[in-house]
Amino acid sequence: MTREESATEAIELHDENVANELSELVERLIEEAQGQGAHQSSATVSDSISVEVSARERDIENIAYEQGRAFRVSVYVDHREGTAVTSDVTDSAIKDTVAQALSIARFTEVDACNGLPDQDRLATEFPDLEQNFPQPVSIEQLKADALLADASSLDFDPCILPADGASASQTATCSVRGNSLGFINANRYTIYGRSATALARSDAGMQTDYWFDQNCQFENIESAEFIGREAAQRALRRLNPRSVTAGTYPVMYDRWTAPSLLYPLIEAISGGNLYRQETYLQDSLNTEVATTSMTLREYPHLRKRIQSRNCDADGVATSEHTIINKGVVNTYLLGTYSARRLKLTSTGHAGGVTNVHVDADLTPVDELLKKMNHGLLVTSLIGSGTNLVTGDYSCGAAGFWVENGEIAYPVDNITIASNLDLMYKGIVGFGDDTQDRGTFRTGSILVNEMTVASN
Amino acid sequence: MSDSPVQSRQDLLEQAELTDQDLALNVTDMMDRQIDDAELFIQHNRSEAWALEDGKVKDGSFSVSQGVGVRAITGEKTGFAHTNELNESALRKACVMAASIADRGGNRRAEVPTDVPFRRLYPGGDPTADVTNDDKVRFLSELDQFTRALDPRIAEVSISIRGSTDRVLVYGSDGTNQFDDRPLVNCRVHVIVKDGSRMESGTDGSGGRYPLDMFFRDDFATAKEMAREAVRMAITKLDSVAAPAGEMPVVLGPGWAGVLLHEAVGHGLEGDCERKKTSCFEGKIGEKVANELCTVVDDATLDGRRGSLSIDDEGTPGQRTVLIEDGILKGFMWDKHNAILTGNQSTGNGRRESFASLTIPRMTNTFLLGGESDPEDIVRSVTKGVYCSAFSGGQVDPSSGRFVFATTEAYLIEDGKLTSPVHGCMLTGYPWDVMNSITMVGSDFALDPGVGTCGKQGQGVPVGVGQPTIKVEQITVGGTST
Repeated sequence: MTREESATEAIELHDENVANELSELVERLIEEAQGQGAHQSSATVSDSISVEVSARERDIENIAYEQGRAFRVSVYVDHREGTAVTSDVTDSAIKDTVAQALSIARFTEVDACNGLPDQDRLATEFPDLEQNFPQPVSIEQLKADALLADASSLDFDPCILPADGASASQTATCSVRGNSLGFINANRYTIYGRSATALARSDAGMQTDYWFDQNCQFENIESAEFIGREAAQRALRRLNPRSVTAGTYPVMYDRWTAPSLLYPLIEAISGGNLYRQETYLQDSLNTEVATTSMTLREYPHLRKRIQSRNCDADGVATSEHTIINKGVVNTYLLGTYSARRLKLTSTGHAGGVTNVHVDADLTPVDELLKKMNHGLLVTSLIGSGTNLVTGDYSCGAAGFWVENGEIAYPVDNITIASNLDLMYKGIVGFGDDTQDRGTFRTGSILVNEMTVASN
Repeated sequence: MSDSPVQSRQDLLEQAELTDQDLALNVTDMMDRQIDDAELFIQHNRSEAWALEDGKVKDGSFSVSQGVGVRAITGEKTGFAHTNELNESALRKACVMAASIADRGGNRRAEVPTDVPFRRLYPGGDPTADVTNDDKVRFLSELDQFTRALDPRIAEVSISIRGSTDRVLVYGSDGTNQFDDRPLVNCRVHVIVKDGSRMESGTDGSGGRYPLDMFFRDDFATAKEMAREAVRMAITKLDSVAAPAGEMPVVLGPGWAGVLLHEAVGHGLEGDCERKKTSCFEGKIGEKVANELCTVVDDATLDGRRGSLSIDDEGTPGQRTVLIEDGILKGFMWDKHNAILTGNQSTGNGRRESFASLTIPRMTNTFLLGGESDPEDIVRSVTKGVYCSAFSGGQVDPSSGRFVFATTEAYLIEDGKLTSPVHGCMLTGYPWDVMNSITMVGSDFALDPGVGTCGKQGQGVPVGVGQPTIKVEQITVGGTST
């Protein structure tokens, strides 16, 4: 290793040609598959470059560079399917991988639902969703951000002690999807992220919490100071938790935990769970499954959003949907295969939902707390205890006890339990503290009653 | 793919278009940049999976993942770069990037590679080699028919089998030069049953580091037993009533319930938590942290178990580490990096999900040793409580220690007898409360069937758990019935 060979101080990004290069690879894979005897085939190739820097105790701890390319090919022979995945993109590996997929397809059974989407369902328009903002952020910048987030957390309060620290990261990805019906789509996106973990200590014990933000535009991520301080604040407010008397109380999910309340509803009307009969919402189309005051709408094409996309994992065009209309299931969420299994048509949901907005009458959060009067405000959930088949729900939780409509003290080591059907129908209020971070755009959500247990 | 480790190591290097000389040269060059330690991790993973659903073998996949991870350490700092491009120039580039972490002089030199002998705990080579694709398809179809015939209330059956082989080469400036060839297989049966408007599900599975052909022997005996168990569980749950809510005595059955120890004490005893002082067990070596009936060990050296490792991902031979002995905290689990920084020795717990992840201390097979109580006496000792026999998993916040784990099959205990089955629910507690309230430890020690995957910092690794029947005097049960 000579001196000239020192590592680049700025991150080398994909060159402009990467989409063309990957598209050619996808075309070669499909050609190879059709040449080896596939009746239909599809392929995905992705290439990503990322750097993550972490800091701890006011010093840099890790710098991790990642560069990887991988491809997946699916082949169909008489409605038999075979799939192969590899990270080796040499010519001989392409041949071998396609051969492996075909050899698997020869052994699987005919399933008439297998195969590419119908041609007319494939996306044909690809407006720029503005997800790609490559900029050469330097390693020094990422180091400075990680150090600042870490220091902002440590400096916030004497009770904050060094723990897992903070990090700053940058990822650039290019992925290309194509199939033997002539469909091809290249998608490039960037993700910038910052996160911090804080540990707060009191005589009664330790509490940790964290905060993070990510965005496809570097200038739009929350500042390193804010991330660090927010993590510290969240850990501090959890110190000295008390226990509660087991019983039935109203439970409010704060705006950050509300998505995990809503997510099982999306899962319960998703194609895979419906055709496998793995859901308590079988045959729920056009039936009331939640409070009539709630509507969920999906907007797949919002600009500058990481979740947005023009087509689903099958290449089917995505479109706006009202998923739940005033508590009633307006559409199932189907990919090509599950739609065929259910004798319906794909809704462009192979791979899941994109941006889901809660549409309801909003109440100021302090009024919502007053409405709750006496109960639990959940700010953190732990463990997954949802049985989608029966709707039984039981989860570990921490948050605050609310007395006379005001936050009284932190509580921890609690379980909250009910049944999803009762919970969704028992939603009695939506907060106006809307957040728009990930899949769900929602504020706090108040559920009329759940069983709360604690030690 | 060869069964011989020497040949298999050679094959791996050839596939990677690398030679031993390339490894030595790149490590020496990195050390010239004045770092403390340099390490190369070369991996080739091949896996295949077959799944049956709706009576059809409709899904098969084959996957290859390969690459190299390069780590450069200087003091507490780690530079890490990985690539799935395998050749000398890609390796060199990754080494340059990783070594850029160097900011002050370590004066160590690369040691001459040495072979540290270790015992191989599982066979090398492809674990699926002895079974043809025809056999795999026939296995799935026959097992499906067998399962469906077990009960008229069965509405859906899904079955999957998987086999993978993971070849890893660890080459480090500290003289490490180790190779491991790790097989891993599993089989899972999942059923949905329907009775009128009630529906329930049941799942059973098993696996480990052995040939896939284990499931095919004796007319699929092991797999059929799993099918019976999945159906029994689902049918039992059809009659389940609401689980109770509140603090009460809980009896945990043998085997899988060991997930309690994994969450309650295991994660808090991983060396990174101890070094960073974020564990609720920090600085408590020699102190009583559990009832004196409790001895907890982490043991990577069990033949063929899912969590076993002949060597860990830093090349340290797998070990048996006593964590808690007769209720007293004895030790933590260490990887090299955290051990060096704290003046400890690696316990062979350095693990990574793949070449693309950083090594961190992780559990292998973690369990509570058997005691002397008759399991039936344990149930008889409870007037009102819950008996839990199956679990879906758990989670922990290591700093507060608060942990949860979800039971999927449980029963009420009334006057010393198991009565109604109850809905699945979450259990939650703090380690010191729960570990000190383990007042009876059964003689029926069992390991889990080999289905556990532990997640930490986004990395999943296969693990094992185990325990005998135990009684916990007080733990919070998260049901709906108050």
